[in-house]
Amino acid sequence: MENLITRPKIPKLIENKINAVKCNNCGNIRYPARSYCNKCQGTDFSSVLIGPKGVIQTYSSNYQKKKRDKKQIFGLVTLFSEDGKDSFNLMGTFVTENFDEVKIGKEIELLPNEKTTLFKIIGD
Amino acid sequence: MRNVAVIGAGVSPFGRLDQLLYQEIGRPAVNDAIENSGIDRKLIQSCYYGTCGGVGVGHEIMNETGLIGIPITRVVNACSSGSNAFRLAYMDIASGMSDCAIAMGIEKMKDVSMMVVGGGTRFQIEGKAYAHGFPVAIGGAGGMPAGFALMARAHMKEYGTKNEDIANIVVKSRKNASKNPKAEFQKPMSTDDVLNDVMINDPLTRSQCCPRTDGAAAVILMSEDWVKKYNIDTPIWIKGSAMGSHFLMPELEYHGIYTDLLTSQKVFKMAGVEPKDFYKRGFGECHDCFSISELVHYEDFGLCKKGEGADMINDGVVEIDGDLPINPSGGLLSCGHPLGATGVRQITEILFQMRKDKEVAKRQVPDKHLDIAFTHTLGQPGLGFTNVMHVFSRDLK
Repeated sequence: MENLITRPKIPKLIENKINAVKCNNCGNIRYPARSYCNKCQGTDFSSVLIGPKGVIQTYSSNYQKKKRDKKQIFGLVTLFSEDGKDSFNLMGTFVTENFDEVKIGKEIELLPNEKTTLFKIIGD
Repeated sequence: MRNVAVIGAGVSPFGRLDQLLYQEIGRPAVNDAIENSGIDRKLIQSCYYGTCGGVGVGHEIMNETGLIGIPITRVVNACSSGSNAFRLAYMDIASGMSDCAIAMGIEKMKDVSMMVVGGGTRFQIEGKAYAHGFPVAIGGAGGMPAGFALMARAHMKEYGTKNEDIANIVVKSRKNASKNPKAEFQKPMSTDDVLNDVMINDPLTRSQCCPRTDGAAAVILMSEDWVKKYNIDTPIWIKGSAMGSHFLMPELEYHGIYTDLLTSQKVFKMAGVEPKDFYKRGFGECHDCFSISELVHYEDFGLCKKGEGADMINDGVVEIDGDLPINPSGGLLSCGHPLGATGVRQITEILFQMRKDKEVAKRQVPDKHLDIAFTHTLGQPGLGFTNVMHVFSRDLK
């Protein structure tokens, strides 16, 4: 019988890179790690570190009901492995309140944070 | 598989109905559906009802309408709960288990926690695992509007779609709803009205997000054998039924919805139609939960090429008098979106339109478009997607 706790107990981040797994059959990246590939149902995985650098794919901001509500700008980025061979889309919050600073295609860096996903904008 | 028809429909007025009990909202819809089907209610053999918040309300309403004793099944599948209930009723009859069934959808949104329907349960289960990968830090009006706002911006960047283009979806919606006395919002809006509304998640303003609405709808389904036996007038045949699922992560596709593509291909294949067939001779009701979602549905269903959704709205293609009327009812953006009821309400619109019922007299789709029609819902239970689509025809063959 399969262990009731099927999820490998591995850290989500190693420094500021996401600790994902890559299916050795089809190359699909899974994060957080899972026992089965959701594309080919394979079970043979290798560890892969992705990030910390990536580019912004899309973004938006939260609804500020009251003026004192903190403006949060969030979005979807594509993170790349250091060798550029692997990539993964990840949602998170940008550490800026300047909406004009965030643009699709801008380079970001994933910040180490175990509780939430934070991106720092580092270039064009 | 046996042929199955929709033979009756009823829908309650949609709106904030806090003062009403579930029974008071659902009972008229059920009774109207039975009445305009022209059958004796004793013929109904099973009931499927979609609701996210109404635990046990199906039993209460079936009891009030004299239908207690039959199998009653509650279906909970986020925004696809009603369409999923309809699909189960269809499968019940198509398989030969029953010859006549009722599908109902009902919701009082004050009883629905979107944090539970749209992600909260997963957070409880997954704990920190999902702190990375989903915008838990979005806050405010995060979740659904946030996700579609991201889609809107990505679409704008990739295809040059403008704010005005997606705002025009709302303009068309309100125009149609102004002829629908059961819609929650019936007042027409201009493009500027939409763009200058309160910003929810940039670039989506308030009127580009469907409202939380209460309401109910019901339809009666019957087998071909019984349609002939009971001499049913103007049955509307179900030619295709398909359902698809996907998980939000990690394959986020922010220019469209992957499951729309897969589910539409499946349902069109089953019905033996192609997207182009809906031009000139068909119409549809799709899940316009947000302005941008209707636009990407056009593209994902193959009704136009990817990136050309804005032309569909700006060129008037999807207007009631256009080449392919979409959401003549006003859709979710104007009728409102009681999660469990929406999928069934869409089917009531198809039946009323194809029958040229007085219910839709002011927004009647032209004759030439009444051959075939489709419905589509997009549910997001937790972090997953559940799409349900159906194709209908006035002719059995």
